[in-house]
Amino acid sequence: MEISLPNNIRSNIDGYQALINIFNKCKVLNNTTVYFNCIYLTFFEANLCALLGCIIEKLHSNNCRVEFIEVKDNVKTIMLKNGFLKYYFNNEQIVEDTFGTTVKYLAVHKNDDDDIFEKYIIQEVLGKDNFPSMSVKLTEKILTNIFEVYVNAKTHGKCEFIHACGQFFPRNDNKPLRFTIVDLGVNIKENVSLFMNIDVKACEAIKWAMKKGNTTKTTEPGGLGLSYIFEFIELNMGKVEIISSNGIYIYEKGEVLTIELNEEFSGTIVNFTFNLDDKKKYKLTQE
Amino acid sequence: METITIGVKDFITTSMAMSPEKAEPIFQLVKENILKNNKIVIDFKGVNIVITAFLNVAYGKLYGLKEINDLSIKENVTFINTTESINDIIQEVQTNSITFFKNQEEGRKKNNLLEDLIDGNS
Repeated sequence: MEISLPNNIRSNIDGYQALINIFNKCKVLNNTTVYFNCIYLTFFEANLCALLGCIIEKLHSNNCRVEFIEVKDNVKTIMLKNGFLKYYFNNEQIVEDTFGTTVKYLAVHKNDDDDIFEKYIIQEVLGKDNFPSMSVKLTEKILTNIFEVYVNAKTHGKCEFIHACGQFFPRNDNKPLRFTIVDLGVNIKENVSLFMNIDVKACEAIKWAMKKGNTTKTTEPGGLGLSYIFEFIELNMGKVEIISSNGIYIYEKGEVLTIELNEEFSGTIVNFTFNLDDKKKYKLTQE
Repeated sequence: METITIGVKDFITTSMAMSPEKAEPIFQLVKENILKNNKIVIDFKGVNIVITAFLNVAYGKLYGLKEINDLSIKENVTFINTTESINDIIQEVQTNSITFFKNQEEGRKKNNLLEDLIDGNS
């Protein structure tokens, strides 16, 4: 079975829809070899390797083999630099990340110790030279909130793997660092609908889940995890995008935008965009 | 009445208290000691980062226990060797947990009232 990738895959509505479309084509396949034909693919935002990783996870769980064919050099290079090709295809070719722009691909199994993700974030995300200078307190708050997303995926998603990957774009406006976390567990729409005992639309479910204090947990309190990240993202002039089922929730410049996608994604995607061109020395309002 | 010190670092492997699973034994220890009328000191020495998901289990869940009242928890559980950030999170978790369990209780009462109305008991 051959599936063609489009020519340009970025962290935007079109990019997410393209990959979700590919995921949905793949999830029904069993016991076959899937060839991802990259002949048209000229640009791939490497943080989206997290979503590609999910697609491969699904195919492997259905006993399918995966191959990438006709991959252009620039796409192959970035996937070698961030370790994605090494992880799935044992490609031992070493390509140095000379510009220091990649955040390595990571797939954490549900039974892996959380230390793995902790060390990964410290090393790969907060260790980048051009991250905005921040007070110790703010650095701590950002770490806590990335971890909250990770633990959310484990707790609510009940997934096998959590996939993460990032990429820094120093030549783009605002020098964005994009960091993506994806899981194939129970998604936000399903969790909220089950909790409310009614079928809630995906966008409404995500909006509800993002509100401080709202949680679908019943045996212990919750609903605080993401509140701080939104505060920082607004000050930093960054962005957070959350995709679950056919809903996308975008938080940017203090505003929320929700859009219904063409197709449903059975898991959850969280994409952070941090503005690394931000020269502010941060302290939170209470400091 | 004794004072029991629980070191968070004894339950985690790095300087980050993240995993709710690792928080569960702390919750059990605190619960056991409050019921014995002991004072509990939760020591964050060596811990740089705590997330709400961890504290919700280690501490927030206490506010849902029928056998212990909120005042008893506030008076008998204290924290040492915290940072400003950890103090902020403790405060947030405390406020949120009290609200969470209060809402649950009110929801239960409303459900019971509804059931009684349906059954013709009131």
